[in-house]
Amino acid sequence: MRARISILGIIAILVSILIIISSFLSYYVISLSTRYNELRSSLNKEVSDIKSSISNALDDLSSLLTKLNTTLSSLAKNVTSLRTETLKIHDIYQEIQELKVKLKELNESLRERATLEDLRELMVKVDRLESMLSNAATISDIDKIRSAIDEIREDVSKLSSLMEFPAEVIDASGEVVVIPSKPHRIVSLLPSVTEILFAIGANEQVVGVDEYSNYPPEVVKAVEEGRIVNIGSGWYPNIEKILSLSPDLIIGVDSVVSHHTLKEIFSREGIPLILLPDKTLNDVITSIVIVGKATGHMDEAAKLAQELRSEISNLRSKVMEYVSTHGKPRVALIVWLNPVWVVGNNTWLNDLITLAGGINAFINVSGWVSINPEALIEASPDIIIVTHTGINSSNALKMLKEFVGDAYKQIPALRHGEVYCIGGHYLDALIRPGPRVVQALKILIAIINPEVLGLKPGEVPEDVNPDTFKMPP
Amino acid sequence: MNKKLFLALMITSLPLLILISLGVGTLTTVNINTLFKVLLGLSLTKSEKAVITRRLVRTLAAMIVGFGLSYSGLSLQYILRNPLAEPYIIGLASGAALGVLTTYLIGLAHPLYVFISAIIGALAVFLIVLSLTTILGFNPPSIIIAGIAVTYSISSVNIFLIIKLLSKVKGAFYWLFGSVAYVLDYQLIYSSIPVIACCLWLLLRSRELTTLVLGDEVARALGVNVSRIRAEVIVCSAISTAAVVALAGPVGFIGLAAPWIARLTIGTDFRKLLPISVLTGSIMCIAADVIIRVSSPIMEVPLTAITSFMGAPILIYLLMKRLGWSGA
Amino acid sequence: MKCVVDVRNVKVVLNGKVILNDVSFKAEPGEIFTIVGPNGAGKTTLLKALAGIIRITSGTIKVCGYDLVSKGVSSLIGYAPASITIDPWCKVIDALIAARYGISNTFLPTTEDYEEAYRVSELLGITHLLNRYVGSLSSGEGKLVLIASALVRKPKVLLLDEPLAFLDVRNQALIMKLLRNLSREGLTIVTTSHELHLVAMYSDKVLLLNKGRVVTVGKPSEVLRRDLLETVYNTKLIDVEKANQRILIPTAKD
Repeated sequence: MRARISILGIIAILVSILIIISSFLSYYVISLSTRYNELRSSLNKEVSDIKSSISNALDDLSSLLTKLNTTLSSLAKNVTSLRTETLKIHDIYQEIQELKVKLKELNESLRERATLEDLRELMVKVDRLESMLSNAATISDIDKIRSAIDEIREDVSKLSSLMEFPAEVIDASGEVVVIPSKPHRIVSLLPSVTEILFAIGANEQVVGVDEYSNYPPEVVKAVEEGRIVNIGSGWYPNIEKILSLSPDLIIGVDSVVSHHTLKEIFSREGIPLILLPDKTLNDVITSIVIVGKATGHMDEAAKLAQELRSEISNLRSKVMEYVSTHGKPRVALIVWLNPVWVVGNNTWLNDLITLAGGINAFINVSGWVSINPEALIEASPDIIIVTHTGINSSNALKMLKEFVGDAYKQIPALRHGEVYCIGGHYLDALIRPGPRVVQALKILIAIINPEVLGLKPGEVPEDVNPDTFKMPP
Repeated sequence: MNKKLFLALMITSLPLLILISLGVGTLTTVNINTLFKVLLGLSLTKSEKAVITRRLVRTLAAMIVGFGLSYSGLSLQYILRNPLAEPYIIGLASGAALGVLTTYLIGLAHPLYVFISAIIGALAVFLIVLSLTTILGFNPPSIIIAGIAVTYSISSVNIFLIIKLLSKVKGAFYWLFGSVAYVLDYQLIYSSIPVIACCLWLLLRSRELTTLVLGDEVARALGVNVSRIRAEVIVCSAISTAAVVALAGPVGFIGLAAPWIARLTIGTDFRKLLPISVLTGSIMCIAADVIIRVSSPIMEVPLTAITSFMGAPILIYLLMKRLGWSGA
Repeated sequence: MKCVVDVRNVKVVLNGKVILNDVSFKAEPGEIFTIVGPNGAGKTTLLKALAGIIRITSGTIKVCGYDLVSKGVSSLIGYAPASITIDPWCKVIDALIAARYGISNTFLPTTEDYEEAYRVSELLGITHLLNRYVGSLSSGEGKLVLIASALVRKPKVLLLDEPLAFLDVRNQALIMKLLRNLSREGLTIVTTSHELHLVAMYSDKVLLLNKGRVVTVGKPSEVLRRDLLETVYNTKLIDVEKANQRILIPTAKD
């Protein structure tokens, strides 16, 4: 039929249009990516140049400082006879002058706003030291000089930490994010990110958090007092609201698509956005290190990461030992009771359960799945953990028995009443991939294999809430 | 309403609305004064520039969405002889949703991939509808039936995907209601080109399109290749709607309401209707975005929430007019 | 230009069924040529073939000396179908303007388009309907609009399928008079009709079609004979003079 042929013709035309459009798009994407690579390599080169010049300046500074240190400590030794030391003090005076000059040069070569201010402060302190020396007459004056020297030493070490910037981190998208100077206006898009920031000591640098950030409690207080602003939803963030805080760093996660979009939008405005990886347990450790480097708290972050790592491996080996002799119980984690939703493999919670020495009764399905009663019977869990908020364990047990009907006796967990409810802060710790992951793990171990932690079965109450284990909030 | 008055009102309100849209938002410090600064060529602070740029991208995206959806809806109403036809009737929204949900499933959820998958999904499902019409016949009732059947089947697949992805799908869920809040600049460019190109094509063919009102046979007697025109219009509508849905998700009701507002005021000549309904659609969309930004400064509300409000009164008015026919 | 509609050995096969078989006739300008026949005889198909809507399987149709498929022929033809196919959500004036396709090819309608539309609507007495939606018209009013849309093109050949259907007696008289006037101006007019009692009033030549074949062609008095008609239509017919009923029909005479 004529119509059929013309329709086929139209389809052919459409297909060829699609091919043309897709080839255009792919060409564009390829040319964009080559241009991007060129930009990236030139940026890398610039960054390494700046870094080398800073490390040079730092070398000069550290050599000067050692000189200052030695001269100042010899001053402190000869504190009793001032008059005889007047010559040495005069030397020190000279060297402090030289130090001033060197600091001034540093001023020029670094051109970093934050560092400039600190440098100026240092200069002021050195001036004060100078005047103190010129007025030095008694031993108490020399004590004051000593304390002033200690202050300067502290400031210099802070200065060297400032040399950590510009910092380069590689985030979950595989790109290099450059943070030009120490960020003081950080916006956190998710509660887990907020927890990391506060855990490594970057709390004073945070100006915006999402509406669900509630831990640690200082966050809630800071929001109430107005020091930190609530930016609304972290999943569908309001771009203008974030811009209104004039941020210099934004931190989101890889799994939320709108954060990827935000990253592109903010990069056009020159505001760095880091996407933290958030799929596995290792990702939590990586995220802590990334955030530490990006906010100038590398030491605290490394310490926290190391602590978590060792605690996790410690717990892991204890659990492994225990289950090798006692076997692994089957655990079902129910996130909602009406309809019944359980957690399958390929999820964060599944990884935690496995680490705690249990077998996820629904390991053969992927993601979050809603099930019917027969599936629960077939899965036959020994322990059921319920994270549906607002329900206590006896109600949960009743609802599950009603759900399954008389066949409930076939399910060991229901038969023995091994149904646990987790709520409150601990629930947050369980579902957020953040620094409280160890707490979460301990709670799961307490429920699944309590003897690993030295608890007797039956000692663990069925309703786990923040008072239960008296763990640090 | 006086036609000329309406026309003048529409033409002046578009630039006015754009200016309002640039001056309104969460950050109340960036407002009319900032706009004056721009006009006078004074330099802006970094954050002012960022906010204005963002609002400009949003406004232009809303304009393109209204533009593309309204002329798609208009042409589909023409060739399908159905006053309730609108751009998603040929399966595009459900196809785009399928594409987007699939990228979330595979874990490739990056804005560029979401954009591309929406286009591919929309056009693929559209091809399915077209091939169905080769069996059912390429005439208005068959096209509508094929479109609705395919839309519902694909929608059921989408529902299954949503339930399966529940833990990961929060972002996709938001997309399903359409929003211009997260539009990136390159997406705006990629979408505008097909939308404007297809509109120009339809403008060139509008002389032939007008003859379709007389019926297939009379039009054929007049020398118009009816099946070809119908195919061209459907393809143009599909491409333009796919581009719009990839840009901002499936925004609802503009495709139905804008052509009707234009029709009720300016008459039924396609050559006049096309520009007027395009104007109306753009204005409606930008207005909806402004309303959202003003009424909900912190929470990002999807566009469809407001645009569906705009659709209801139009339909009621239509109904009232229709009821008047049996008396007239 | 004088336009003869020259039909030779036309055969039309649709979906495997032979609708028209070896149909030949000539319609001269200045002549009103009417095709009659039972339901399903193929009258509408024949008219559609003349309009170029249906493709003929074999044979030739020449309009004004041009073959039907050549370009430009459609601007010489005005066609009005039997039932109203116009989009109900369209205003009458816009339908008339739209029908000027091929005659007026500017992007926006010209004043000439509007003038022609007004002229034709005055001719047919539908000026009061111009701003109404087609869907709100009665069937008779719609028919007048269809005829108007064919006339607005100032065609040389007028093809009207059942022009008197749906119309009241007054409008039937109007159309018959109009057709007479138009044919006097030199148009070639081909119509189909079921109203056998009116055909003689306005037609010059009649073609009797049955089961896709021409039974006979000739003057109305020759073709509309009781014996011929009773055989073809397979039903009893009565002569008005013989019956005792009064039958009132409209007249084409002034």
